[in-house]
Amino acid sequence: MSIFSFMFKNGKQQQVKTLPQLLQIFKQSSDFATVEFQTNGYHFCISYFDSLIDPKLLQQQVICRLQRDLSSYASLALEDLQQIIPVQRIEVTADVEMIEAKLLKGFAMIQLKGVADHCALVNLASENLGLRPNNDSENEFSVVGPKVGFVENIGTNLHLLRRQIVTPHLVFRELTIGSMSQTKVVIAYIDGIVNEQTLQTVVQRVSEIEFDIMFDTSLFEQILSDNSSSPFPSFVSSERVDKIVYALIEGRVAIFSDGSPYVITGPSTLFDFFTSPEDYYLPWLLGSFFRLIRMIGVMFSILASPIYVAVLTYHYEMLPKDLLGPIIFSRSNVPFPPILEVLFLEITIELLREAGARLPTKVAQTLGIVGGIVIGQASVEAALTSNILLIIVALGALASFTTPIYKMSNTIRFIRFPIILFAACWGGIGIVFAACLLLIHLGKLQSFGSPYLVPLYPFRVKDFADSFIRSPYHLTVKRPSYLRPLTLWRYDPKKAKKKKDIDE
Amino acid sequence: MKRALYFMLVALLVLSGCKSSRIVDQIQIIHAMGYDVKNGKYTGTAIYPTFKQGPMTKPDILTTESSTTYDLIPRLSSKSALPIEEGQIRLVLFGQQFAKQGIAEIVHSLARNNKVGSHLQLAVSKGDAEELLRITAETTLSDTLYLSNLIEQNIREMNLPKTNLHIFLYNYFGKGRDPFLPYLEKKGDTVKLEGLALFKYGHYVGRIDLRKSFLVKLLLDETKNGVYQLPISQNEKKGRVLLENLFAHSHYSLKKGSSPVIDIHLRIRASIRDYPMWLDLSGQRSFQKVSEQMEKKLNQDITNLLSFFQKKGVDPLGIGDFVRSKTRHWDEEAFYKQYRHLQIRPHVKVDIVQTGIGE
Repeated sequence: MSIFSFMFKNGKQQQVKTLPQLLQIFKQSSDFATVEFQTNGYHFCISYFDSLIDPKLLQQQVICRLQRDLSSYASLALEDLQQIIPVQRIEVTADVEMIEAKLLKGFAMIQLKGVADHCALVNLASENLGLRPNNDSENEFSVVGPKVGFVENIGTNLHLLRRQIVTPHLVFRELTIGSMSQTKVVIAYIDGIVNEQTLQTVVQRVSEIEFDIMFDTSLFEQILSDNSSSPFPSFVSSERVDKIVYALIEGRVAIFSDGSPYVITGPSTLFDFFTSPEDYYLPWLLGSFFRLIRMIGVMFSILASPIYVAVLTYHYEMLPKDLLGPIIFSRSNVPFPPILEVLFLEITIELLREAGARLPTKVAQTLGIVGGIVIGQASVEAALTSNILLIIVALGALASFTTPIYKMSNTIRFIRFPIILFAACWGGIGIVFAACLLLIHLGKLQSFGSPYLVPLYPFRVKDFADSFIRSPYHLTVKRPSYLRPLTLWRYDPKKAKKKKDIDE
Repeated sequence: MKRALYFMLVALLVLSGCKSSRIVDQIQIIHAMGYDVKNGKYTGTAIYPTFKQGPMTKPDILTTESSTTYDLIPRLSSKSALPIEEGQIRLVLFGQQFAKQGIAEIVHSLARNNKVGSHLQLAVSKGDAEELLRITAETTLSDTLYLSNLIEQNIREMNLPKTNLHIFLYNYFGKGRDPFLPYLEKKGDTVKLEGLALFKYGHYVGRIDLRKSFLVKLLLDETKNGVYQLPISQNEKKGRVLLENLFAHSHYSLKKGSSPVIDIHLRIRASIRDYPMWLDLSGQRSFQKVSEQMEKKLNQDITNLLSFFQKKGVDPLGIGDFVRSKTRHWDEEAFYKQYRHLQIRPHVKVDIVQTGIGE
């Protein structure tokens, strides 16, 4: 329960029953405005939240039209406003709860004197006010390919998606989540591809969320995940349009939330976190090579410093004879055991990263230079660490940043610390033990009820086509079978193979 | 589940105290160990690198005496500031006297030691092992790995057949084969590889020179290196050619019967690296003649070598093992009783592939 929970309870108790009561509450706020005017003998009263509506719309589309076009009507009913005001979906209602909700979303309420409790609700919300209009997907940058990213406005996001997937089977299912934020949440999927059971799980889980304010989709990620105490992210979240489109056509489900530029897709597997859109834009040979480099980088990042600790503390037998001299010499003045040396450097790098992420970009650059070069060099010269370790730790940190998804790279940075401790306590056996624990955990992990380690466990030979390597497109015409899509073929491979040459 | 997790965490912290850590810069890593025997007393010599000045090593030597071989390393520890660890040992050197007495105890101990690798080199020195190790440590060589590198280099590029602890143990424990080791000798202020030391039941029994060890190399395994000098004559001129082995392959076959015969087919693809100016290698026929001469000489040398082995009663080539693999109910004792009179016929075929850049 959050700290806002007491307000939530109070709100429930003071339930608004009538329109005047509602207006009474609204009028406590200084940005709630009421405009009254007479034209053609009709007395209008327009109420709205000044901070939510677009004043231009109010002037041009509502007040101006009412003053100009009203003369042609003999007797005016609220329902006739739709003909006068060129704004879509004007609703006439007496439902107080609905009025409350709509006013808070940026609608204007038009009351006509004489018509007691009914009123018309006109949508005048200024949707993009204060929001950025576009996103260059700088956090998930790729050199090749489109650079369009999602923004904070869900309408724009859905528009971007629909423009790419031109089919009536693309379905948006809207829900409202959050007792205080009333956030619009959209579950997107492609009907006829997505597995019914998966979809049902997603819809059920999303609709059962109880929370006050949904700040971001990363909250969804934590609330929806099958094992919320796992360090591994259960769902891929991305701000890139192409990535989400690709997930949808494979048969996954995407969850949009208003106010969040990140969209989460699920069910996800471990391999999804190491694929970059660029893999698909480059020829398959290059794409596969860079993907392998990325995976080796991750292994290196997780294991390099634990192996350093284990070998230097317990297994000196394993050192190659040519490496023995440099390692012993570089350590000969260091007063700490390898574990403290490693923790010192690892935590230094963590500090640098954390400081760099919190500071403005310009300062962060300076900090990187000061931290990376000066502290690194000085700590070696002060004999606090050995320079070989400095290289290993720096490479490990570098390798962890090759992961395209930020959340996964955080996970990788985190899980090496327990492994370092295991290595310091038990040496090589400790590393193996920790790796076993990790594998057991990954094997048990699920994402929307589908296994996380697929295609390795459970073993699916056919789905290896797009895992360690990015196979050429003619080998990936089938959707991954572990998602159990309703239609397996992405397109007709025979048609694709047909060469339409002139001499045919 | 949770209880198991707590248990593991507690075990992690508690049990980690049980394991003694050996931090790499807080131990004395031995690179080579020498064993000698003098007047019934054993001497152990350990050579180890020190890294205080820089990544370049400065070797140091520790020696100690004892009446048994077992406590040589513990006794070395009593002279050392840091605990002595033999996990990086690359060479065990036996003095000739020690080797004559038998190296079985040391070898058994090495075979069971889980710290040493099977790539460890064993070798025999002509004089004292200590003397040789002192040369590598105290002269300009100044390299703790000098001797092991010397042996490895000669295995890789030159005439020494492949040896290491693993191969030694295979030959030592295997039925129908005898081990051999590189034989080193002091030459002034340097060390020279002088051939192979032959063993029988773990005792040194004799040696052959480096030239002959090339023949052993040819007969033992597929090899791609080594050089051999052969006499050559053409038009009544006499000289020598240097044969460089490019690829050699030996094949053994056994003719059973009351007096069994072993044929060794040896095929050498070679290049002639150096030859006298007058030697005419231009035509197919002169080529043929040269290689025929070579084959004849090689056959002769191999026959001599084999009869030397037979006279000594040693079997470094594993001929007994080969016969065992072809014979049901092979009897080791009976075989070696008639080993001396066993007929072994080499058939060498030399293909000259290159003679260097020419027309």
